[in-house]
Formats: sequence, C-alpha cells, structure tokens
Amino acid sequence: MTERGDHELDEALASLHLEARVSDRSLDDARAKLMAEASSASAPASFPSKSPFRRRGLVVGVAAAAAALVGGAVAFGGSGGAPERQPAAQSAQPTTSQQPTKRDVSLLSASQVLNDTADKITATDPELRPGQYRYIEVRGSYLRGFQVGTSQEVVSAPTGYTYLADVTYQTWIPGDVTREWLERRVAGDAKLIGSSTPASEVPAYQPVDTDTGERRGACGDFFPKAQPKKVCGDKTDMAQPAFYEDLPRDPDQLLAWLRDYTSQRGSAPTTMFHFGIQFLTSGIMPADLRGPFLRAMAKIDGVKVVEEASTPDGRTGIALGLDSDSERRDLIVDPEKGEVIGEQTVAKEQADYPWIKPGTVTGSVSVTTKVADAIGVVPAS
Amino acid sequence: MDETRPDLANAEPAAAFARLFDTHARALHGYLAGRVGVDIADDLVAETFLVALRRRATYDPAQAPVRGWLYGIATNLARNHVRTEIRGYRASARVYALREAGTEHDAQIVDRLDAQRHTRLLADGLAALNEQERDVLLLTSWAGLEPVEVAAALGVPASTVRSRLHRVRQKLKAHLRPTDEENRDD
Repeated sequence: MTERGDHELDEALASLHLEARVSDRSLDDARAKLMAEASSASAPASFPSKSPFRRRGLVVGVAAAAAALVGGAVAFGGSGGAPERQPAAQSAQPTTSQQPTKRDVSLLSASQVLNDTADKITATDPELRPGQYRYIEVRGSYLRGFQVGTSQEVVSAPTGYTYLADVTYQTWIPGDVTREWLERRVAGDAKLIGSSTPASEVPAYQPVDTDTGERRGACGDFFPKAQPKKVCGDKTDMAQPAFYEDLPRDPDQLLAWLRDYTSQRGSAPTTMFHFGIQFLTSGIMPADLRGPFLRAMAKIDGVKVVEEASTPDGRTGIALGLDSDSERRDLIVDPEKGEVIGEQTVAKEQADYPWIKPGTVTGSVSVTTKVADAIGVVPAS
Repeated sequence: MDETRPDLANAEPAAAFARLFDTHARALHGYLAGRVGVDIADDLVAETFLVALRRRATYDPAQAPVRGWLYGIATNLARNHVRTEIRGYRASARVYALREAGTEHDAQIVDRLDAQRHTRLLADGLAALNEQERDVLLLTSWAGLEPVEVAAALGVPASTVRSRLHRVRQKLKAHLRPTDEENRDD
C-alpha cells in the first residue's frame, strides 16, 4: 500500500504543471541580463591568472570563507578602498565623492582631459644602469568584509560589515626581467565604512596574511605554486613588460585591441574601461604607449569627467568615471603633468551590500614609479 | 576543477556565470515555472542569477555543490510569489475536477481518471502545505535535488530535510488515499 501510495504521489507530482515545467521559453533575455552585469563585475585575482597586480582587489580568505554558509560568517571582498592613508594630506581627504570640488570641472569633456593628459606625456622611461631596478609603489585601500547569516538570510536580509584596509605594494623589477624581482606588502590601517549593526558591535579588523610579507621570484613569479606557471616574457601576462611591447600605438587600433581583449566578457564599455585602468596603473606600461592608450580610453562610450579627486598618496587630479548600476569606476589623471596617478571606485545606489551608502569610496589606488639603486631599497622622493 | 563546485568567488565572473547559467538555467526555469508559472519564472531565473553573481563570494565550494545554493536563492525569491503559487495549485485542482466531471466512467479510462484525480488532490494538497514542506518536496521532486543539496538550499541540516520530506510525503499520500477509497465506494 505504501509503495503504491508512493508511486501515485510521484506520478501526480510528475504530471502536475508538467507543461509549464518543460516549457522551452527563451532564456536569452535572462542570460543577456546576467552577462551584462557579469562582464562589468570586479575582475577576480585569477584573471589574468598570472598577474600579481590582480591579486590586490581580490576576495581574500576565500578558503575560510563560507565555512559558514549555514549560520556563520562569510568573508567577502572586492576591489575598493577608501583613501585615508596619508596623514597630512589626508586630513581633508574625502571618504565619499560628495564633497565639493576645488575647481569647476563640469565644463570639461572626458576626451578633452584624456587627450590633454596624453599631450603632456613627454616622459621617456628611465634607462636603468646595471644594478638598478624599476621601483613601483602602489598604495591602495581595499574592501574587506564579512557577511553573517544563513544562506537564505544572506540573500533575503543580508547583514554584515565592511572595512577598507590599506595595503602598500612595493615592487622592484630588474632591467633584465629574467632576474629576481621583489615584492613587499605592507598592511596599514583599516577603517569601518559600513555595517548593518552599530559600529560598536562590529568585530575589530583582522589583517589577512596576504597583505604582508616579501616575495621574490624571477619575472615576478612571486607565487611559484600558482597554476598555470608563470613564463618569462609571456606576452599574455599583463604583469610583465613583454605584454605591452607589441601593442599598437594608434588609439583606434588600441581601442579595437581592448575590445577584442575583453570580448569573452562581452566587451561592455565598463569592462573595457576596467581593464584599461588595470593596464594604465600597472606601473609597467611604457611611456610611448601611455599617450595613445589614454586617447583610446577617451573613445570608450560613456566615460565622463566626474570631479577633482585625490589619490591615497595625496596627489590630486581629475577623475574620469564610467558608471555601472552598482558602482562608478574612476581613472585619475593629472592633465598638467601628463600622468596617470591612480584610480578609485565609488558605490552607487545598488551597491553590492546594503550597508554601503551611495557615494562611499569603496576602493582607491595610487601608483608611482621611480628608479631604485638596489633591490629592496626605496628611492628617495 | 569540479564543475559542480565552481570557485565563483575567485573565478572570472563572466566566464564562470556563463557556464553556471548554461548548466542550470533551463532546469531552474522548469522548477520555478512549476511553482509560479512560466511568466514569473522568466523573471525569477534572471533575478536568481543576478543575485548569485552579486553574492558569489558567499558560496563555498567546500560545503556543497553549487546547485543547492542556486536553488536556495531561487526558492527564496519565489517566496515573494507564494500567493500566486497557491492560487495556481487551487486553479489546477479545479481544472482537474472539471475534467473528471466531464468524463464518462468508462472502464478503459479508469486508470487515467485515477491519475487525474491524484493530480487534482495533489494540487489541492500542495496548496495546504506550509512553505517549508512545499520547498522540501518540490526541491526534491521537481528540481531533483539530493537531501544534502536541499539542506544547502534551505539552510537546514540534511537530517531535517529527510524527516521533513518523509512527513510531507506521508501527509500527501494520506491526502490522495482516503478520497481514492471513497471513490471506490461509489
């Protein structure tokens, strides 16, 4: 009787609403919506997998992450951070983009600013004498946070908190890139930028291991166990100078190349802009490529002048931004000096986490390059 | 890499979610369409994957296959349409009742009639279940999830899923049976 009852129940379940359940409705719209957003989502550390630079904005502590999918705390992360690193210059540093700008940039067009900046790039890359190193310093504030609750609550009523953690990356690259490079990471302060509970109830920030320490390796192979293995001179590895050598120097050709490079992600303007920023702020783009690359960026649909902005190392420039639903990504340039000085990310209404207020700076990075006389020695300013 | 446990938090989002969508969207649409109808299912499929994308860092491949997590999001979103869902079962129950009434009790179609009656009673029974019971039953039956996946979807222990499933099946079998016996007495 029970078996028969089971059979009857299963048959009834199989036939109820069968027509709806096997309908072949097109899912194209749903897929297109997903891909549009996915293509502008923060790129992960693993892509391009060989780039140490991409590790910075990344989900940290994923291994420990959702150990608590059910009823625990889940680590999450993303690109982003708030500029708050420089003591003197930073006392007036914005934590949101809502503060007044110092001069009227509203009349400028993005292409004008980018092209002006490109015009001013007269610098040539310094020749390294034997024993000298190219020194790249990246100061950034990156989003680190936790989400609490069951897998259902994480979706329906997310709770948690978000810190911005400062990390400085110092990289020494030898003239002969097949020799040993050095990367030093120095963790700084962390600041709570949002939480679903009163700040007094939020646990203190716990630094992550990957934000500190020194790593060495030829060709920038700082993580020798990573797969796939880093190959010296790999022209597909944006963290190696070889990546930039053969790129076209014509803005239109560069734009076409950027579109092609991001084609697997749909080549959305936000995606192209994101990767363009990654390349421009890598610190290893050659001087003769920076000008045409900026002119190519000026041609991306929707890029606009946003405001005057400061970088974590206290320099000021003009932010050129491109909006997505959840955030605005900015490239910060100094048109007077012809320099790309950094980038920032600003939360919008549909921020990934409801406790992040629109206008909050959720990521910021500044880049400087110098010549160092020896590996591990920070050049004088 | 285990395709059933993609590392969504670290993977390049577009490539990872294109794969996720292509693997699961059709079946997910079927599950949702059974519950809330094809039109709302169209929207919910899109919404499910967008939520999954935004919350990708909360999925831990070490804990369970991604399917349960995905269906958990979908099931949660479907809760906003629970009234539509219940109206749907009641409407189905009425439709099947009308079909029964309009059919001759010919010996050759008794089996089919039984099946129709069971479907009507099931629709009626589903409308009377509470949400947790319906979720466990339909995630198992229509979505084809294993208890451990249902557990991941609903955020409850697998043992709870098994006992809840047993209870709800007993309840529905009882719902199908007495009427069956009554009809045989006719």
